[in-house]
Amino acid sequence: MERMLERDVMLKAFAGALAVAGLAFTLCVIVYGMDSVAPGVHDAFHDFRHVIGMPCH
Amino acid sequence: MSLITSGADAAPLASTRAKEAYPMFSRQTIAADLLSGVAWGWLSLVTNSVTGAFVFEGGFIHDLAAFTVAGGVNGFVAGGLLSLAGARLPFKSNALKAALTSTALWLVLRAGAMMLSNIDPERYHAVNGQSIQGFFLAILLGLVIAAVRKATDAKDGLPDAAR
Repeated sequence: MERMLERDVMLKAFAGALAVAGLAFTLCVIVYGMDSVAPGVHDAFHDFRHVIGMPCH
Repeated sequence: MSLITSGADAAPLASTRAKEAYPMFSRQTIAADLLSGVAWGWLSLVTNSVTGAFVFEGGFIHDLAAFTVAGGVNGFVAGGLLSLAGARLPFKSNALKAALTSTALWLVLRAGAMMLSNIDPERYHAVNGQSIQGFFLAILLGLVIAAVRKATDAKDGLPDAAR
């Protein structure tokens, strides 16, 4: 019983960590304006990037 | 102390131990972090309008949408890192923990940006005023996350003493 609960909690934590990692990559794409990953992302988030102090052209 | 338990006490005790060992990501916490991020995105828009550190190039509706999406993503990641690392941070205050996590995230992103700036200085051009504003906005994000989590009673990754 204890092991089953622990496994369930562990799986939820793993899924959460995976979601955080995935969105952290999305954040990198937004913050660095990686057009090669998502075309148009540089222009779409250009003002946001400047406002939070990230280098841009 | 024996780790073996039985009967009605076993399930709640096991669940508590497991939650202590592995941080949880409840829907309540995820919603609180997303809400914090969106609110922070709008606050960033207002802050920049007041400071004038950067003259907006996009239209208001476009910027509102962009800051909403990017703020939500930033809030989710900062909140997720807080859930993962919050219990291990050497502060009692939730606000300090959240501010440290969001500032650390910003510093890591900024360090990466500086590397890109060294590689391609024309493409990635840093402005000091915007960087200082970004640093304080990162602290603000942590404070907003802590405030919204407190308001919604979302406690993932934070020990009892810090709630």
